[in-house]
Formats: sequence, C-alpha cells, structure tokens
Amino acid sequence: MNAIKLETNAYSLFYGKFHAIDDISLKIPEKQVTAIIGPSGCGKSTFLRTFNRMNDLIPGVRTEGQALLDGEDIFSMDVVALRQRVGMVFQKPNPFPKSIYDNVAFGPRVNGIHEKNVLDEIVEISLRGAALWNEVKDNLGKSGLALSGGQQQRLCIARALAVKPSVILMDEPAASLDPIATQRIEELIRQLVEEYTIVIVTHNMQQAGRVSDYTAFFFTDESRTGKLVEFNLTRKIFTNPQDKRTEDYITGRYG
Amino acid sequence: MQTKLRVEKTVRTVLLISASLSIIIVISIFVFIFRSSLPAFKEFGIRGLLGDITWRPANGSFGILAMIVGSVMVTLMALVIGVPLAIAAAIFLAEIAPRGVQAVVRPAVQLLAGIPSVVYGLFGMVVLVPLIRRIPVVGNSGYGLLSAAIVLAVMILPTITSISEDALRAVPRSYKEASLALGATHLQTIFQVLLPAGKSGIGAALILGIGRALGETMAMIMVMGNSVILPAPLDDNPLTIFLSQARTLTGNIAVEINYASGLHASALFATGVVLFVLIMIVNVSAHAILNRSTSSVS
Amino acid sequence: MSEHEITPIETVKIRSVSASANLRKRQASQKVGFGLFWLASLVVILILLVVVGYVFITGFKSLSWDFLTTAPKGGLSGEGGISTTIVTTIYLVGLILVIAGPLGIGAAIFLIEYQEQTKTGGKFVQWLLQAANFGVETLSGIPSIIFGLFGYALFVSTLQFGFSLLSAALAGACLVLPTIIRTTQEALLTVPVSLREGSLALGATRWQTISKVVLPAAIPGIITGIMLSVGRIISETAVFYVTLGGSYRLPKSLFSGGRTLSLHLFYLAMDTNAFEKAMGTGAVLIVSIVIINLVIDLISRKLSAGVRQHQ
Repeated sequence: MNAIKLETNAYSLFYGKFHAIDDISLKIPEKQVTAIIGPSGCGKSTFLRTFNRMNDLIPGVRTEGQALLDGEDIFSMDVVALRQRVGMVFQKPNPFPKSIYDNVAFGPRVNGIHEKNVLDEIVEISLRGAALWNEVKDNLGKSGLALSGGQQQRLCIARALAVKPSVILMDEPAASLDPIATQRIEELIRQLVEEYTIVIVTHNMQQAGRVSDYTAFFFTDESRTGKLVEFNLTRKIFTNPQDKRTEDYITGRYG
Repeated sequence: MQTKLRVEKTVRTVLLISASLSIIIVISIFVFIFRSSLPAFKEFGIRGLLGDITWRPANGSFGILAMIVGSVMVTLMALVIGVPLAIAAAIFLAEIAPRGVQAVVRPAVQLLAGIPSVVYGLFGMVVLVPLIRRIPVVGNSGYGLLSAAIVLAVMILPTITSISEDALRAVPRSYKEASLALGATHLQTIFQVLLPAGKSGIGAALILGIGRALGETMAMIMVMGNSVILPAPLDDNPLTIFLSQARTLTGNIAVEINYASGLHASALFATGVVLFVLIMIVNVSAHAILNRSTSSVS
Repeated sequence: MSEHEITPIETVKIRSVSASANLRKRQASQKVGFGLFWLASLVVILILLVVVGYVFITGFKSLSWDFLTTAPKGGLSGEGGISTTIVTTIYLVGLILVIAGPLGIGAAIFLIEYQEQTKTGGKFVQWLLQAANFGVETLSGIPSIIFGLFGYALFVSTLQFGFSLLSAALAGACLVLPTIIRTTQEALLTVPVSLREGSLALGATRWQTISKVVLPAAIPGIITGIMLSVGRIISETAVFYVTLGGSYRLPKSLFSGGRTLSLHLFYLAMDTNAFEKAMGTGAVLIVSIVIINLVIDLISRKLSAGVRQHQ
C-alpha cells in the first residue's frame, strides 16, 4: 500500500460569498495516478489548484479545513517552496515566448541554478522525461511557440519536470489536443507515474479509465457547490460504483 | 429618387475631400518646410550647416550642430532620469498596487499628463533653477541641461507609464500562472516573464516618450538658458557639462522665427528639417530594433 | 552525458541543500524590490503634489475676480489681469473647432463608413484611404513647433494673414485634426453594425443612415474627441507663439493678434518679474484642464453605460 502524498480534511473553498467546494476529505496515494472526474462546474479544477495554491491568485478567496503535502500543512508553508514540490500542467499549453531551452531552464534558473553544464543536463533530462528530446534536440534555440500543440504541451511538462517536483497536477492536459497527441500524453503519464505522484482533472471518462489508478468523482447540485461523492480504485469506480450519482455519470445518464 | 442619388454623390465627394485633407496637410508641411530650407542648404551645404557649432545670425553663421547636441543631450538625460521611474510606476500599477492605491496613483499620472508645458516651465524657472544654482560650480546659473532634463523627465513620465502599464496588462495571464506554478517569486515573474513579454508595448511607449521629448519647445526655452553654445563642462570636472546652458532645435526655431528673414529664416527652416529627420531616425531605428527582437527569441 | 557526470539524484541533493537559502535570498530581494516600486509611486505622487501645490499656493495670492476681469497692462511688473487672454483663448478654441471639427468628423466618416471602397472604389479611392490613414498617423507624430513653423510659412507669410487669429486657428486646426479624426473613428466603430444594417434594410440611403442613425449614436465619443482637442488647444503654446503674435490686447477681428492664457504665462515668465501673476495664470490653466478632464471622464462613463445598455 502506498504512502499518502496529498491529503485534504473537511476542506472547503469560497470565492467571496460563493461556496465553490464543500467538505472534501481525500487521501491521494504516492506514485499513483489519481483522476478527478465529474460534470463541468463541480469544482474539480478549483480543488486541484488547492495543492499548489494557485487559488491564492484570486482576490476574495477563503478556505476552511486542511490540505496537506507529505503530512505538512500546505497553507503554513512558503508558497514558493510549495510550488517547487508541486508542479502544474495547464489545460491550454502555455510555453513562454522564449526558446525551448529557456522554457525548460526557467524553473531551475529562478531557483538559483546558473551553471551552464548543470542546466544543459537538466534540460536534456527533462525533455527526455517528457518524450520530446528526440524531436527538438537539434533545435533548442527555436521558440517554444513554434511547436505544434501536442509538442507545446510536452514542453510544458518538461518545464514542470525540470523543477524536480514530487507531484504533478494536470488540469485537463489533453483537452485542446488532437487524438494522436492525446494518446502520447496519456502514454507519457503512465511512464511518469513511476517517479511522480500525478493528479489529473479530466472531463473525459474514457481517459480516466485508461490512465488512472484511482478516481475521485465530484458532483454538484443546483447550489453549484462541488462535493466529493466517491473515491476508490479506478476499476472499482467503473465496474462497481457505490453511489447512484456516480453510476449515472459513468453510464452517461447524466450530462 | 434623382435628388437622393445626387445628395449621396455630393456627400461622398465632400467627405472624400475631408479625408484627403490629412495627407494634403502632411505633404504641404513637407513641401513648405523643405522648400524654405533650401536656400540655407544651398548656401552652406549639409555638412556646413550640421557640422558648424557657431550660430550667429548677425555674422552670417548658421551652424546647427550646437542645437542638435543640445536636443540630443537633454533628451538622453531626461530618459535616464524619467524612464526607470516611469516603468517602475507602470509595474507598480499593473502588478503590485492594491485597487484602492491604483485609484489614487493612476489619476495622479493622468493629471501630470494634463498640465500644460508652460506651467512645468514656470515651475522649473521658479523652483528648480534656483535649486540647481546652489550647486557650487563657477558659471552655474541654474539654467541649463540639468534643470531642463528634470522638467522634461516629468513631462514624458505619464506617457511612458500609461502605455507601459497597458502593455504589461496585455501580457496573457497564462504566462504569469505558469511562472508562479514553477516556483518563481512574483518579482522574478515580473522581470523574467512579464517585462520581456511586454517589451514591444514598452518599446512603443519609449518611442513616444522620445518623440515628445525631442518636440518639446516652450518649457525648454524657459529653463535651458538658450545660449547657443555647444554644451561643455564648466570647469575641470567633466560632470559639470550637465550644468551647461544650451539650446534645443525646437527652441531655436521658436525664439528667432518671428523676426528672421532671408538666409536667417531659411536656416531656421533647415533647423526644422533637422528636427524632422532626427525624429524619423528615432522612429525607424526603434521599429527596427523592436522587429528584430520579436522575430528572434527573447 | 557530460564528463562531469552529475546524475539527477545528485542534482536534487545539491538543490535541496541550498534551496532554502536560495528561497530566503529571493524573498529578501522581493521585499527590497517591492519596496522600491512603492517608493517610485510615492515619488510620482509627490511630484504632482509639489508642482500643482506650488502653482496654486503661489498663484492663489493673485487670483481674484479682478484678476480674471481686468486686461493686462504690460510693463515690467506685469500690471493688470488676464481678461483679454481668456477671451482670446475662447475665440481661438471656437475658431479651431469650427474649422477642424466638421473636417475631422467628415474625414473619419469617410474612412470608416466608406471602407468597403478599399475593394470596390477604384484605384484612386483605395490609394486615398491608405494615404489618409498614413496622413493621420504622421500628423500625430509631428511636434507642435513644426505646425507653428508651417503656419508661419503658409498663413502668416505667404498668404499674408500676418500674426492673427486666423493664422493661429488654421495652424491649430492642423494640430488637432488627427485627434478629432482618430477619436471620431473610434466612436463610429463602437456603433454596432446591426444598427446600420437595420436602417439600410428599411430603405434609407447611406448618408441618411450615417446622419440619422450612426452619428447620433456616436455623439458621446465625438464629444470626447472635441473636448480632448479643447484641452490640447488650451495647453498648447508653441504653435500659437509663432502665429498669433504677442499683443495682450483684445483681438478686434480675425486678422488681429493676441495672446492665449498659456502664451500670456510664457510672456509673464520671460519678460516680466510678475511671477505671482504667472502662477495665477497657471492655476487658471490647471483648473480648466482638470474641469475638461472631468467632463471627458463623465462622458466616457456615460458612454460605456450606454453601450452596456444596448448589449
């Protein structure tokens, strides 16, 4: 049984008066892929962004309850240090308007690494880890924006890997990609999970089924407050869901 | 039906003529100023006018070089003083200031933009000049490059700040999110992601600021002393060149055109031509630099 | 791999040892950096307070009803008030708006409403549209003294209007023309296409659509442009310095010279020692600009509220 990497206890989040997510208690195991699925608007992304405190960027945000990384309180740690340990890949690929090399080297550089041979090494390792090295190794000076959509997303993954996090959060990483690029990302996720804990939000159930070890199902009602309905091994969720709402969603009866 | 059509046609012609006015005026300005400057250029040649530092109409000397140096120096000094402050204010407004503080600082910048140049000139004369005169250097009258540069810096600050702030706000939010998610601090994100991404807008702001600085006339007349000398150090210390009096190209035109005639007047038009060319050089080279750096990778 | 053979695990070890030190260093530099940014904005506010404050406090002494209603009497100590300069300024603003207003609005209408002519209008019109836009761009970059020089060359000298309201108004009209054209263009662009289509579908001609539907809807934006030009004219000095002459008397006709408020300030500062009166004139100038800016703000706010209503 794996150790628990990320954990929340009775965690709720409010945008001003709006109660976005309510009373989520969840234990995410280490070095597994945990998928968060559910209909749109049920707080999946908001919950994901808790773990690297990206919600802090929104004015008027308030939280209750606990969120822990390796047993430490996320909200007590320094947010910059947290984000070095928990990386994120966004829905729409967002490489910087810099070269491929400078994109990947950005993380290490802001963390104080400037020696060229160390950076060269980190860039190569990260690009290999994101299955992009062979395609760009002769062209590291090319702009990150000149790559295709799928390549850009793998570049963003390499960029996240370069910081050597222990967790990678993915917010619908293949949503804007074509099926072939999507497949490559999914294969990559299965490779990365050997070293990293991965939490992925997806609205594509089949993807969750293919890619994840554990699945959390979120749901919301007319109040638009997101709640955790069920969390279990993926194969159990898909073959034997405990809650009717989960079953309805899986079988496509809902949305 | 016939009259409706005729009205339409007449209207279209009238509007077309109005639209062509802008280009007609531009061409007229070019034609008039160039034509009036020709006698001076014919008499002295380009090198004669631009290479001579002596401007003494009474003696028939019409060297414009001293004014070119004056304009360029005061503009450069104003940039050195004003640009860091302006961009810092822009960054402050775009990234750091809470809403309430923005609501105070931004209108303040806009108000600074609205103050007429002669008011700044007056303030310079009454407050700045006596202050600068206190610097214990022989020959320092307070009037000169330093006073003028400070006044000019304040005048171009609002332009550079507002356009730079817009440029920073236009940077896609996703860049900022990605940078922070990688563990960069806010300050690092500003300098290593936002500023580079916004650099074409900031560059445009600087070009506008430079154009404004080169074109400023009345405030410069009021605080620069207007001696037609090549700016030079006042004593052994080379830094005292900044206290030297000077005259700008714009000041030269304004101060003498009302009573000049013949070759003198033509030389003043030539000064206008030089000003034109200078501003064009700035615009073209700035665009070239901007285009070069956006096509390559930052 | 390189000779140095740093394996990934070692890299992590190197990093975690100095990571916290590096973090502290970065947080410290962020505190310093942000402190400097706050300082910069403080300096900007201070500059504003010092300049405006000084002008008002010093000028206040000379501000009075008398000051505003008496004419300047000249002389080294700048006797008198500023009444004639206020009137001259108003005359000049009026003249310039009469000249540049219709022409600028007309130009903008053609550039926006007849835009399809870029494809259908024939070579000349296509070229003209491009040239006109280029003209507006260029005009807005020309320094005001050049407009003055042009005005002097064409109106004062060649056409022999002399130093006069007429010469100054014509030169000033050239100066503000790009502003009026640009803001009117923007105002026209905010009018939804559906409004035009609705009118044309009812059988109205293009000019009827423009005059009865588009222009009324664009009025707030157009007025903003006009107010911006008024502000520009009041603040402007160089253009009028070389076309208006320096007389402080009330202009009797289009061909008389005069002084605007800002010109009067300049003459007071350079030719007399009446610095307090100059400051007083400055205070009047600043107040006028502030009022104009407030009006512009009000109009833009009403404008965006109106747009939101229609949406």
